[in-house]
Amino acid sequence: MAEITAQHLHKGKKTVFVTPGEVITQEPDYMRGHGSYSDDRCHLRASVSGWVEKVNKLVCVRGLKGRYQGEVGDVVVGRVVEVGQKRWKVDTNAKLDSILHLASINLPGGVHRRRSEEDELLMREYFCEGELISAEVQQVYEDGSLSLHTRSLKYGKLLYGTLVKVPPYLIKPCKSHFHNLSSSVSILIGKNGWIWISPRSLDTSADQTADKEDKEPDVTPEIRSTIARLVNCIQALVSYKVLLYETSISCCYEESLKYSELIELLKPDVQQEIVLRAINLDAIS
Amino acid sequence: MYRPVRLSVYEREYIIGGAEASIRSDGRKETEYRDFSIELGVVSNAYGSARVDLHSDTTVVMTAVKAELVAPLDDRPDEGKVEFSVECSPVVGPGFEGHSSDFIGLGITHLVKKTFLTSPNAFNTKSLCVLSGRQNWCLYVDTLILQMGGNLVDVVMIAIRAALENTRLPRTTIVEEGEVPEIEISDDPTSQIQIDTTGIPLCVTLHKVGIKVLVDARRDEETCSRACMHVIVNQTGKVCGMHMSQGGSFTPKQVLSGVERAVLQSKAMFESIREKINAIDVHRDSISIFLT
Repeated sequence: MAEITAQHLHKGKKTVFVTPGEVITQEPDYMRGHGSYSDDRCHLRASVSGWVEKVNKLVCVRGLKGRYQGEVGDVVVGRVVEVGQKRWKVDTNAKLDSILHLASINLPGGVHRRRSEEDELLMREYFCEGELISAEVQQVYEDGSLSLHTRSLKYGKLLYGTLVKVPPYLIKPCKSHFHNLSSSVSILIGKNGWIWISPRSLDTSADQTADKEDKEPDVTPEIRSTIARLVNCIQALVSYKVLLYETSISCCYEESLKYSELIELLKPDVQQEIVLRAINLDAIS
Repeated sequence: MYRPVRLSVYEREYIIGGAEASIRSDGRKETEYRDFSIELGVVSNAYGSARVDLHSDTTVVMTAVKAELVAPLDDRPDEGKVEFSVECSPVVGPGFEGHSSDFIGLGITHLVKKTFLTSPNAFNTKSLCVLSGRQNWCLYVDTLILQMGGNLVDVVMIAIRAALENTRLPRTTIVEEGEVPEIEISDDPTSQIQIDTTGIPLCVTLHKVGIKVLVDARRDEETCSRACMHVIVNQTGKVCGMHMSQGGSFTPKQVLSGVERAVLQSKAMFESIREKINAIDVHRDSISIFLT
């Protein structure tokens, strides 16, 4: 049992991994936070598996599995669930619905927003219930709920494409979460475990312009099968608990090209093969 | 029967466009079925059980068969009974807690019951007779939905068939001592009776998405579906029932081609179940040889 000494906790930066029931510390002067409990001998034990976090005398365990716990600056994909007073409620796979204020969006076309009542009445025109958006976490409130913003051209409404939901702990934090995987397909890896694969190239910075918004792009069968292949590759990587980031996904995609029939990629033995090859390829590169 | 998932207009259009272009969101064509795996004997205190898992974006369903000796109905003294029930477990996800998901289980229970009622050859209830007019077997076939990835009815029917194939009833002997004959239930695990499952049908569900008719729809496709048809087919390839759920309609041509496709598909499914169960049996035999 890897017991954590006071030095460990004071070092702060060292990540300590614990499993449920493991003693975090035997010293009595620590306070128990989320994911921990103290037993009858006043030993602090973990109640979930994850990393130990310490703020002064408060010890928390950040769980591995479970819902998304946001951090400021994370790129997320969310679904609008409610249009409210000057704000949207967005499902981001977190414990609580996230909030997107009317003041923290860029209007379509980059038009400057005037604070008026008309504007509030038009909210449903910007984002309607059920629509998917990409956003960045602006603030984490005390109760753990998130405040989002879309004040950049790269964020906003997501149109045609496929959403893949994966466990958030499999998403590797990277500098960029927007990637062009081929000439016609782009992928947005949300830190909350929602991955958006769309047929539009991200280079077109005029994404947000109003005239383009509702026009259906020509989705050719080739683009569709590329997207479907990516979906299957991500599912394969998830079933073998491989971290998801651009390289792992593109390596797996390369390996999957051997199978021309997309349904083959749903078979467990094929999945195992392509994931193992992708891991090797990833290790070499 | 289906709890829709929330989709935006654009996603919907993308899914419908994909169905029409014959490249669905997981790359299947409209006639392609997902592979499934079967585990047998997953509930140790049941007479037979099975867990069926539809691969990738999974639907998981578990069925257990329990048996009891009960008095038969007066007008059918030599027939046993079979009771079906399907329940949706709250572990499926948030929003399935409490009684909110009862209607899903009830809808499927109803469909399964109707299937077995309207096709009298589906299950030979006379084979459950122990002592005519007095004590016959009653089978309780309970199904639990553990994960929802679409195409529930088909998977439930596969699980029911697999669980019944796995069911072994204890051998009974009638001892005629005194005035009232008594039933003796053998506890010998080597001499058990297998149930005849040849008549138990499977279901192939067809969804109309856009202008295409899909088999084995995922949950997002079910949400986009405009009409849904369950075709129930038995091992000999005979259609023994058809049900429609949700509103919407099919054209006569779609119905005919749909039934044809369902018959073809069910043939493959019967074979696949047979193969999977045989593989498990072979595996178990090899283990038992190893142990002795």
